[in-house]
Amino acid sequence: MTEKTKEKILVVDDEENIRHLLRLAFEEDFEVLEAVDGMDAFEKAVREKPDIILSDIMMPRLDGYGLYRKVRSRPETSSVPFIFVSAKKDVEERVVGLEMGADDYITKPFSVKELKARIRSMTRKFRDLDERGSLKGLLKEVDLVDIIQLIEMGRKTGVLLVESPSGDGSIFFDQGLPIRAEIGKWSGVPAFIELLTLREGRFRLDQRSVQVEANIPRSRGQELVMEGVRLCDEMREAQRNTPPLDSVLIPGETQAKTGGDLALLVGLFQGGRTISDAVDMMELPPHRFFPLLDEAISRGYLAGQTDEGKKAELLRKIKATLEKL
Amino acid sequence: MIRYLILSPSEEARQAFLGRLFSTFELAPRGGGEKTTLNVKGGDLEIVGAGRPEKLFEMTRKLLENGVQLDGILVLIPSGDEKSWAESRRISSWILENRMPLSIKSWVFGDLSDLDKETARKALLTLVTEHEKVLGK
Repeated sequence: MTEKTKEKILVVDDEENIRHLLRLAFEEDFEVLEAVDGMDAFEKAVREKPDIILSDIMMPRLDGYGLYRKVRSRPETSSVPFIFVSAKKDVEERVVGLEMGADDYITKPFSVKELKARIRSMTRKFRDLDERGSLKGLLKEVDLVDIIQLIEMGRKTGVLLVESPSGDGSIFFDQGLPIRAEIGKWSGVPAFIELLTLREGRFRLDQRSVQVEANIPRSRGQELVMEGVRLCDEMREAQRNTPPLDSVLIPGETQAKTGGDLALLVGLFQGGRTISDAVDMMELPPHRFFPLLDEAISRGYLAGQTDEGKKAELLRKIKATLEKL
Repeated sequence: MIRYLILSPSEEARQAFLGRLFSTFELAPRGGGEKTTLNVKGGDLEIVGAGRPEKLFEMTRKLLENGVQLDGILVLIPSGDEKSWAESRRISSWILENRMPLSIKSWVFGDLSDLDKETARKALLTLVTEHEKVLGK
């Protein structure tokens, strides 16, 4: 009996510790190839034709985004599943943790288990898409970015339907390119990017012919996935930096310049307001709102409420609750 | 969290107040008072009931001097109870002298039937409004 050939995984990271960790994690199930940066990875991807690429984002010479573009532009590598490992900050934290000799390096800060599950899920989805022509699943188990990459690589035509606590949404694809997106009050490119940020809910891909009016320029199709990944990273980074949604913010001591979204955002917090209320009021999708909020706080345009302010806010809620008793 | 004290020499009055407004409250052992919590997004309102005839001032002073968080006091005074009325005024003066960021309101009732749900709600809302004024200063 011949032994089944292992699938090849190309691990791209400029940190030797990370590559070593990933090799240990995957060598049982995969033939592990390593690359030290985007340029090295691209050469190896063309030569070795890996079954999946796992790439860091921030690297010298050619970063993960650049690698993704190059890989997608070459016919022989354009359909290789591609996973971005993490944002820059996470990598830095992770490496520090490893260098310090942390005992829990496997799951914290770097979760190999999660990564393996994601790769298994992605390769399984690939098979499903090829064999059954349909796809469905939960967003907490698989990133929509991965699904969109599958659709793009497979040049699929159909509609990706999403049900989530933020509302129901859809993305129409023609030959792998997103041509129309909608979710809640957003449509077009903002809706497409908003959909990529979802982490709860479920999705279903119906492969069928689509005859809809496009609200995404065809020329932006592939670029949009990249832009979405970048904006998702930025939004999550900003969310990590900003207080919880129920926090009340007030204008800080530094005054924002008049005009523009930043001044508009600061103006919303006059007299104190929770972040979640501001999200609802501001006509900006979350991927634009949170980086803007992060900027306003870091520049001192917005500040946390004083203890007295917090109590006054709580009193307003208590009054409202008492009146309903 | 915000904590208010319902202070009254009448245990029945405190319990009628809390029971009719919130439907439920806990009793401390050995007549040590009552407690109920109103859950509100972003924090809770805890209301404790306490008091004994002629001990209203001393009890309040001890609580505050021992660092117990109190944001407001509602004194429920039976009509004609001059001693409790005088104690309520003494508490107000003492809070003022010690510059404590604390609101206080007195509410006089005739008999227990006066402390119906609507009256209890109105009395508590008066205290909340007073508290807002204190915070605004």
